[in-house]
Amino acid sequence: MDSVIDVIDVTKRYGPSRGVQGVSFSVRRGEVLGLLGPNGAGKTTTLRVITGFLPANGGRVLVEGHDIWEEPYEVRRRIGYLPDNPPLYPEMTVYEYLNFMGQLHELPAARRGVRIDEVAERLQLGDVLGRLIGRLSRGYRQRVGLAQAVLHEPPVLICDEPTVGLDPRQIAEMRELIRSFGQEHAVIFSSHILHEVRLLCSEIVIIHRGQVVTQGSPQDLTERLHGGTTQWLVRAKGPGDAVAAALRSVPGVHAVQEQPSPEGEAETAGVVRLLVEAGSTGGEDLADRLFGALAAGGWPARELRQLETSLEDVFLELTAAEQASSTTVAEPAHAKAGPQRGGGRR
Amino acid sequence: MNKWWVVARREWQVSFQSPLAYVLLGIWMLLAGYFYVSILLGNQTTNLSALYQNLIILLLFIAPLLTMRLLAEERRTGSEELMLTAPLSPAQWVAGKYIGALLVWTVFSVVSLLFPLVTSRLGTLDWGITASSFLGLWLFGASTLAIGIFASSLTENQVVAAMVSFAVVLLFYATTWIQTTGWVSTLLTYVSMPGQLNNFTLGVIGVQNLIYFVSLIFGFLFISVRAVDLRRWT
Ligand SMILES: Nc1ncnc2c1ncn2[C@@H]1O[C@H](COP(=O)(O)OP(=O)(O)OP(=O)(O)O)[C@@H](O)[C@H]1O
Ligand SMILES: [Mg+2]
Repeated sequence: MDSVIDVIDVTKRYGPSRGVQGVSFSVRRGEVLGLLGPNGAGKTTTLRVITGFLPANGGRVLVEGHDIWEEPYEVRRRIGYLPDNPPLYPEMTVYEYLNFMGQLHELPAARRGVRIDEVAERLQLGDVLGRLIGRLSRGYRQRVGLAQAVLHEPPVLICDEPTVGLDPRQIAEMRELIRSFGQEHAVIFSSHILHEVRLLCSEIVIIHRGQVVTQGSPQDLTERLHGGTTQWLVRAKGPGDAVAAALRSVPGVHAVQEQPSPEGEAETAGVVRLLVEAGSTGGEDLADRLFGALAAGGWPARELRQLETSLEDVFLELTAAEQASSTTVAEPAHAKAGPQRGGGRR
Repeated sequence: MNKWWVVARREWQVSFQSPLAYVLLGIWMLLAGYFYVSILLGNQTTNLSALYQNLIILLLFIAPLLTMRLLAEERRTGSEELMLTAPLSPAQWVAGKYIGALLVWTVFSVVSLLFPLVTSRLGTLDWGITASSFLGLWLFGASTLAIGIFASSLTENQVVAAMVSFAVVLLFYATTWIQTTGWVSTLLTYVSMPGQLNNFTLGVIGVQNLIYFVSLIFGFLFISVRAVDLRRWT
């Protein structure tokens, strides 16, 4: 067994209906697992069961083979935990706090000093070590929370929505940190941003209303969610029918349809707006080929980008798929009509 | 290093970073000074037992304020989550919190030794009675802190915690105020804190009295740990 953490059929009920049910996954060293779901899906609940903060109603959690309920102490030593909105002690300085957490995690004095320096360096906390935590900005507090989680070099790192409330630059930094920690730890983190999870994770678990809806590698999920297709938005100056026909003949393209412009946005005169559906492979090449087709026709391209599927769309698709499969023989529910809802971000 | 000591030391440091401890210490010394002057100089006596009785009443009001924060605040801010997922047991955590508060209370009680010291300068002081009265006061404080930490484990609202601990301590203080007979009366007398403190003010340190306070402390600490443990199940 080479997995560092195994979550086996975990169930946690708060009342008759709420909580999480039947969550299972395992993470190896060097892997990042993303727990993806909308608000109230049960992400925090799942992570709290894994860290041993909440007792489960069923199932097991093993960290390096130790059961969280039979050997809580052994498990806790091996976990670094960054809770949602990290609850730190505002009246302590960053150094005092890290020192305190290091003591609780049994780092000997000399090692503690070394580790605090290392972690402060890596998380760029060097300048604020002497500042009171209560006076730090949100981004710094999040980093202090992460510092305390990795201080004792745990094999497992668990982060609950680590990028919420950060500015774009801090989000990028936090993601980079998670990625780099993922190379030496087994990392589990939760998020409600599909894009982020896709970017960082080798395994994704999508959870909705306490149930695992689907899980797998990003490639698996993309195939499953889109039925193996990608969608592209193309805006070009030219006659609609001719442009659409040209794009339709590009290898890999399945369908092209004209798309109305989003409400409140008037389309520039003479520009057509097309939704292109294509196979999921060869992303960059396909973009090149689409461009090529436009150039060959002499139609200036105004915009060409792949549309991301938002989590909302994913759930629409998933629930649609569930309903379809319960009545008729399952057919990949990817035929999406109408304009993209909250699709590609600009 | 023991984990409970790590927690206790943090608690101690934090206590003296907030103004609350200083304000309470100021009130404590101010009112104690007032009692001292009014009772002792007014009655022209060097017996300090009356002072100690008044300090105990003052403590009824101050102890809940010293303990209300301990667990309630951790629960409200969520820092409890990091403590209960760190490699230390709830018992070590609660014990650490308690010891931290106990150290603060020890400072309060030691500072109040100023009054016996002054008395011994002015006249003759019975150090035996003073020592046992002091021990009684300290034990009474230690028990009220245990009750207070229990109240603090029940809620995330500090005001509620303070009121509950005040009510429980007052109940232990006033059990003999009700007229009863037979075994009920015996029981209530045994449970009564002033009853258990009597010996101390007379200069006697009874084993039975020590057992009473120590079991009160451990009893309340025990149910505090249970409360911290159990509330995760709800
Ligand atoms: N202590 C609790 N008592 C009762 N119900 C709870 C408790 N904590 C969470 N729940 C419920 O359990 C469900 C899952 O909540 P959870 O906090 O795990 O969701 P989440 O995925 O972390 O959401 P968010 O993105 O908002 O953080 C929700 O319906 C929530 O209302
Ligand atoms: Mg959450």
